[in-house]
Amino acid sequence: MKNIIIIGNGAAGNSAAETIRRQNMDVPIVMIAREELPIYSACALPDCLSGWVNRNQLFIKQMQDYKRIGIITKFGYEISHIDIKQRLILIDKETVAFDRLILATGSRAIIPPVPGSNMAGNFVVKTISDIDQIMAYKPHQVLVVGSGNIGVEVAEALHMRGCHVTMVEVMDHILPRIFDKEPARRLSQMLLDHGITVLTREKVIGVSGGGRVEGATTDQRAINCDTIIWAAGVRQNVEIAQTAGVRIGKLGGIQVDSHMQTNLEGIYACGDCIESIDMLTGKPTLSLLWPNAKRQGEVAALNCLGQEVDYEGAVSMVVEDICGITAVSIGMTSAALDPQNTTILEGQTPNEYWRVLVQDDLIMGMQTIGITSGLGAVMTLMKKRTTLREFKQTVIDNNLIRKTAWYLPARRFLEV
Amino acid sequence: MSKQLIIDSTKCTGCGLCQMACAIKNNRQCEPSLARIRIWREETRGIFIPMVCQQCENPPCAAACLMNVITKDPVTGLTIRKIDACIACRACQVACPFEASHYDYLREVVVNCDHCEGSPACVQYCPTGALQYGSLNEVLDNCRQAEALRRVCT
Repeated sequence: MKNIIIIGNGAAGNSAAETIRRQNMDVPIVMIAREELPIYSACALPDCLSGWVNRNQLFIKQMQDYKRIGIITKFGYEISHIDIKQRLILIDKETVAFDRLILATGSRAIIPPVPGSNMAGNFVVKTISDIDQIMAYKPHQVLVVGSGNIGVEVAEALHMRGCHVTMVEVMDHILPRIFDKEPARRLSQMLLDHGITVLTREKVIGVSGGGRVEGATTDQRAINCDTIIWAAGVRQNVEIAQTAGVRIGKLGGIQVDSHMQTNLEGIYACGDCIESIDMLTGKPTLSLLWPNAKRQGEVAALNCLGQEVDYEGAVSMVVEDICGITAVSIGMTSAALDPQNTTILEGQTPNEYWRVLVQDDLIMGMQTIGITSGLGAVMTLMKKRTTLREFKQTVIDNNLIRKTAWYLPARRFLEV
Repeated sequence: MSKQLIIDSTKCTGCGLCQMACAIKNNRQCEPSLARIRIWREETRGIFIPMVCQQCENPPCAAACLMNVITKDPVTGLTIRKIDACIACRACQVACPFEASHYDYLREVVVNCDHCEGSPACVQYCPTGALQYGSLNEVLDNCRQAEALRRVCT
């Protein structure tokens, strides 16, 4: 093999590069990326905004770490064209030849086409430079649009910085893709008690101000604010791949097989930019989570080196720290499951709440508030597709349970 | 991996000395909630199971870590953490099926068992031999000898 080019310097790209190096010390690796920074944890950006993590701590590698494992870095470059036939990549005025290509181009935050959303004071939170810009802007009255995990984390972070924060969500409840209605109601109450205004079923339809943001209008009211953070979703960076002839799936991500190979021989894709298969349902999904990106990078790298490894599928695990309480969601939500077929095992104590979603005697998802113990066991049972029947038979057997002792912490959630 | 922490839960009486020894050795606090080993108790069934990091080959905690803090030590095979970089997001804690990632509230980081650099305090203080440290062969051999001795003597 002549060389491998990795486009993207995020979780997937770096995991791919490290996996290749672990297997093969000789093959040249070139990494091309837009940002002129070493890899940093995008998940910790809201924590940086709140002041819990300082900016230097975000970086996972230093520039010299790339050199140390023999990765040639071309950071700060924009790719203008990929020539599949000649196996060349055109960056600015330079061309680089490749033998195998790994696309880990990631995703970008979108700002919906609302009038006024191009004014100063409109931000997204996706990269470190977004954080720098927000800090430099010194926000006081903040409107967060969208209540996904980034929306909620940013709202809380800015609240901790002393800002007056309002959050607007267009759907029925906050964290609509991560939590069901009841846990979301509890989380929303926690945010309210904390001093963050939460508005649901409202849509921002305009931003007002003369050059700088002075307010926003929703379909129900006008809100005074000097800063708007758009946390209304992301789009996959697939344009360059698409023009090169890589097939794009229905959901808007690059289509890959279980080897993370695209429709073109020798061209692999991993991370946020792809459409992967959900481990539980087997359906295509966009999994925009760090752990999945890392695993996909590994699989792409191994297949790139000729070892045939299949991807097991993406599984979602979101851990949120909301007002000091840990809220966790793993697997699917009720909205994504057939309601007729789904049983909900629910429970609570004064400080805890949990619900487990069960379909055909299999665990399909779990959502908890204030709990950190026992979730790993539930998640492993979910991934192994152990039936609840089997689980119950094992836990009541005094001999069997000693061999699978890790079942025990899950017991309180799975027995009613 | 050469040496392992080997647990024989049938010998565990749930005395909790391992937890105390771990907390004292690693945190200088007499507080079991800081221990990296915990006993799962089902008193009515007489089941006591010490739960500790199993040093997995492909650790789910490392896969979940948002800061890529957790790696496998190439020499010892232990699951180790660059603890300064930990932001205590708890993802590893949620991912671990063995309840072996623990939040250390004094340092505000998440930790796991690191075998105390080769002489685990929990093993030293375990009065019943439920916890042993050594290569699997070594420990099995000891068990065989003890069993043989028991049969000869009774």
